[in-house]
Order: sequence, then structure tokens, then C-alpha cells
Amino acid sequence: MKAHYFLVRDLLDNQLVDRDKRNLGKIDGIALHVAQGKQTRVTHLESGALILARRLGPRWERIAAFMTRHFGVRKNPVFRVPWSKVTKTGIDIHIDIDGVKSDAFAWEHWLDDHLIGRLPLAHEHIKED
Amino acid sequence: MKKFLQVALGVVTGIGGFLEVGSIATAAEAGASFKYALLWAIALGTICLIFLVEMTGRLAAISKHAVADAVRERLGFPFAVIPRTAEIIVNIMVIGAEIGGVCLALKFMTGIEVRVWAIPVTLLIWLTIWAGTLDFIEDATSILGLASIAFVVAAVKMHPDVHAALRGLVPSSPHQDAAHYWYIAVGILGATISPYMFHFYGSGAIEDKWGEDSLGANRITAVLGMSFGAVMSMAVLVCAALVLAPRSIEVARYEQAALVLIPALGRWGLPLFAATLGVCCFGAAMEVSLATAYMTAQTLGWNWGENKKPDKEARFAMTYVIMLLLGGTLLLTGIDPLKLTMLAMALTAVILPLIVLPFVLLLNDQTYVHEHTNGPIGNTVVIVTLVLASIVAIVTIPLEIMGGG
Amino acid sequence: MWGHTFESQKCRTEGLTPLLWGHTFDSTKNPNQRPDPRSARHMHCVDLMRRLWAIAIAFTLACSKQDDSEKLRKSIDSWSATLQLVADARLKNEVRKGFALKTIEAAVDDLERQTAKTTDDRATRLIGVAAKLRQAVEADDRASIAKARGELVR
Repeated sequence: MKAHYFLVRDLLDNQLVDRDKRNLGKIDGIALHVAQGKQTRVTHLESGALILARRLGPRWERIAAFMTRHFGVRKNPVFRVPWSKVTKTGIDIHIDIDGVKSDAFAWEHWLDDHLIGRLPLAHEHIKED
Repeated sequence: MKKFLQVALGVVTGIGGFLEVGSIATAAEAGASFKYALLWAIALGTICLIFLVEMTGRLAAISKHAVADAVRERLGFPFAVIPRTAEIIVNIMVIGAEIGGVCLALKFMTGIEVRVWAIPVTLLIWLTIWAGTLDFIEDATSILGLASIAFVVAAVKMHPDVHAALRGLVPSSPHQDAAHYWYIAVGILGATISPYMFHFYGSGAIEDKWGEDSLGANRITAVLGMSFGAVMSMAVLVCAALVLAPRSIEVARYEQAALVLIPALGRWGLPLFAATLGVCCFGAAMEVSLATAYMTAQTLGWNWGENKKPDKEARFAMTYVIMLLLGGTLLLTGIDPLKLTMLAMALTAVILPLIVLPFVLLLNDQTYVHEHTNGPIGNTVVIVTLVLASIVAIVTIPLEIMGGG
Repeated sequence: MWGHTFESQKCRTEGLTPLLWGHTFDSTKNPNQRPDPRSARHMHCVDLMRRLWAIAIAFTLACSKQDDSEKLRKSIDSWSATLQLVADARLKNEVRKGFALKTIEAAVDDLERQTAKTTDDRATRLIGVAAKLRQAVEADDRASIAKARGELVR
């Protein structure tokens, strides 16, 4: 891994990929720890509609907050990945996490359980696994 | 052998996938109103499309990222959200128009109204995407779409004035109806340089696991496939120029466009027109639905893939289901598919600069394409396309008001 | 992240060192502070948009639009020729009855919509002939189809 990063160019908006090469979303935000007189540190990579909406403006953030509060299925509306979990960087950012068990897949599971999975042929073997 | 088949199928995809409800309507209207004078618009749009499609394939093969992916990563979400949102809105209209095209084809053959066919056609399109693989979708629509060769046969049979047609390849100013002329020209460019083609082509390249060894096949597919497709589109224009223009028939309704094959092909004329329209629009509806799902999934970082089972990427599957539902619902309102497609093409033209601009950046970024960056010709064409798209974007809405139906 | 500015300084995070280039940091700044709308760049963009709209409006005015009566005249010629073509094709059995009827229906629908805005005797006459053609096609009466086709030419 590189020693130096341009946070916006190299990390922000890049693809998060789990240990089994599944897509977990984009890096929508980067959490920094800022302390007076000390080095600023990247602590987490963040993903989620709330973070995205914040980047568009306060009105969009309020709408996203309302939607996630009343209709969200994740335990936490923001999916946070500690920097320590990053294993490889590049165009994609690889993290040492099982995506299927993480909160990033909450909507996938919910849609599969309640809608998509109930339609005929959703689990059929015509296609790849 | 495998490479040959890959190229052959790609070329066939270009033929079968080029025509759809918008391109048939605009080509027919162009030929009916201005004879051969707008052939240059199809040629110009195709040249731009060839370069952009080749770049899309190259980006996908080298970086394993499609355009929507790369745009978000390179230019950020606040930029990406604008063209993506606009494309979603336009694509709902396009899907409605394409479903309408299939319904029109069935109406021509059965006499049963468009609205009656809307739900069964939408369901059939959904089922094909849901249960089929990308190869099946591409192969089936491509091979069936070869019915569009009927336009070439008809055009040749009617002995067009070749010199006049060749003169039509040179841009010219109209003697009358300037607003209508430029309105159709813009419509042709909007129908030809369709953003959904880049998303579909690039994502398909990734699903087919293209690599650096696929760059040659990509180039051949882009050039030959799009060129053959353009020939089909030009054949529609020539047929309209020979059948509709001498009789002063304008294409106000699709029933009038459907007449273009009858003088040359007799009893086969209408069935072949309906078959071409139906198959091409069916394929286009699937392509646009999938393209929107690809684009959304890639922008937001979801799992995606037409070759994967729907339960494995539920959000991707949900996206194309919603798009089909919205497009089908639009048709149930009774809106004329022809008017819907003309509006969709005009709006496509408005957002085109935002679609083309990233190509200038991404295809010169070695992070994505390594040493396979654009050459001077490629960059020149993209910049010219960007300037053209910007001009088209400014004049489209006034032309829609002044020169439209 | 957005709305902050950072000083050029090295940041350390658990063995990795992300380096922030070209930014200055002030943690007291309001993270939601918006750029001054009166900045020179903003005014330049507004000015550019105004010029683009002026070009668009000038272009609109330069391309004159057909008036309704001219549009109706062209429509009458177009639908008259369309119905002739369809009548000929029906007589040769090149099109199905259903298609011929739908085309006649489309013609009448389009002409009636346009005559709601502008009246024209030719349009009224054409709608009448279209009705006769429709009856002839429904009845599969070839003689009547030919007669109605003849009336379209006049």
C-alpha cells in the first residue's frame, strides 16, 4: 500500500470491495480525527445515503435523515469501516470484511427477503451464482 | 475462433441494436420532410458514436470499470449525480417509448390498441431480463434485429438517386422550414449518441470479462457494428425519401412511417416493418432498463450483473424492475409513443455535454487506461463532439418549441 | 470532510501516512459554511448562463415557426396522400384491414384535433371522405374503396 494519499483523489468516491470481492458501496465520506497540536488522522471510511446527502447540501441531508429514520433497514445509517481494515488501495479499496454479514448488505437482504426473492425464478440456476 | 465469434456477434449487435423507435421515427421524418438532406446528421452522429463506444470498451477492458463507475470516482458524487439523475428521468421516457414501439408493431399486425399490449409487453421484457443471461439478450435481439435489412433491400429496389444521396452526406442549410430541419437534425443526433449505449456496452464488456487482448475486437465492433447500424438508419431515411417525400406525406403518426416498405416489398412490407420495429424496440427496452440499472449500481457502488441471479444483487434487479414499471405506466396514460420518443431525444440532447465531458478526462487518465490513452485523433473527435453536444444542448429546447410537432 | 480546509501537514494513521496537499485547516470554521454567492467566479457563471440563454432566445426568434393555418394545409396534403397510399395498398391486399382502419382513424383524429384550432373547408371535406373510405374498408367493398380513393385525388 502507498504511504501517501490524496484523500479526495485516491479515496473519496472510490469503490469499497470486501474480502470476497463483493462491492460494498462507495466511500461517501472520510472521518478524520482532528486535535489541536497533533497530527490529523483518518480514522474511518464512511458509506451511506446520509453521508452522500450531506455532500449535496443541508436540505438534502434533512431529507435523507428523515428517510433513514423512518424507512431505513440498517442498524446504523452510516456504514463505517476502520482504516485498519483496509488491505489494498488503488482504483478500488479492498477491506478485510465479510460484506454479506455487514450492515452494507442490509438493503440487499431486505429486498431479497421481502420483494425480489419472492418473485418467480429469482433463485433459479439459469444464471451464475 | 472465439475472437472471431466475439467480433461477429459484436457487429451483429451493432446492426440489430442501432434501430429503435426514436431512430426509425427521426430517420423517416427526415426523409419525408427533406429527402436526402439530413443523411449527414446520421453520418456525423455515427462517427462520434464510434469513437465514444470504442473508448467505453477500452475503459472497461483495461480498468474493469464502466463509465458511470469511473465518473463517480474521478469527478466526485456532486458532479456525477447531475447527469445520472437526468439520465434516469430521460430513460423512463425512453423505456416507455420503446415499449410503445413494440406495442405499435403488435397494433399494426393485430389492430389491437397500444394500451392493451402495454402490460403483457412490459412483463415479457421483464421476464427476459430476469431469467435470461446477457449473451442470450444480445444474441437473440441481434439476430432477430437483422430483419432491419429489409430497409436496405427496399431502398435498393426503389433505385435511389445515388448522387443526390451522396450530396446529402455533406451538411447543408435548408431552403425552407429551418426550425423543423434543425429540430430533426438535433433529434437524429440525440437518437444516435444515446448515453444508455455507453453504459450497456461498457458493462457488457466487463460482464464478458474483456481484457487487454480484447482491444482489437473492441475497435472492430465499434467501427463495423455502428457503421452497419448507421447504414440501416440511412436506409430508413432513403425509403422515406422515395416513398413519403414525393407524396408530401409527413410523419405525424407512426402509421405513416409504416408505409415506407410497402411500395417496394408489397405484402411483405408492413409485416417486415412491424417485425423490425417490434424486435428492435424490444431489444432497446431491455438495453435501456439494464443500462439504467448498471449506471445506478455503479454510481452507488452496489453489486451488479445481468449474468447473476436476481437474489444475489437485489438492488440492481430492483432498479430495472422499477424502470420497467415506470416506463410501462407512462404508456398506460395513453401518451403517443412517437411524441414521447421525440421529447426523450430532445432531453437527451440537452444532457449530452455532461455525458461526453468525462470521456475527455477518463480516457487520458493513465490510472484507468494505463498506456492505452487517447491519441490526438481520439481527443480531437471527443472535443469536437463535446463542442457539438454543447451547441445542440443550447438550441434543443427552442427548436422543440419552434420546430417540433 | 467538505467545507473544511486543511493545512499542508502529514497525517499519521496506524502505520500509514495520508498526506494532505495544498489545503489549509481551521477547525473553528463552520463546516456548513457556504461559499460567498457574490464571489467573482459565481458572478462569471451567472453571466455566462445569461449569455447562453440570450443566444438560445435569439436562435428561437431567428427560426420562424409555421402558423397554424400553414401547418393545417400541410397536414391535409399529408393525410390525403397517406389515405391514397393506404387505399391502394388495401386494394392490392398489401395491408390488413385492421391497419387500414387504424390509419384512417389516426388521420381523422389528427385532422379533428387541428381543426379545433383553425377551420378549413378542405379539412372538413377530407374528414368526410375518410369516413366514406373507412366504411368501404370495413365492408371490404373494393368498388367503394376505389371511389373514395378517387375523391381523395380531387
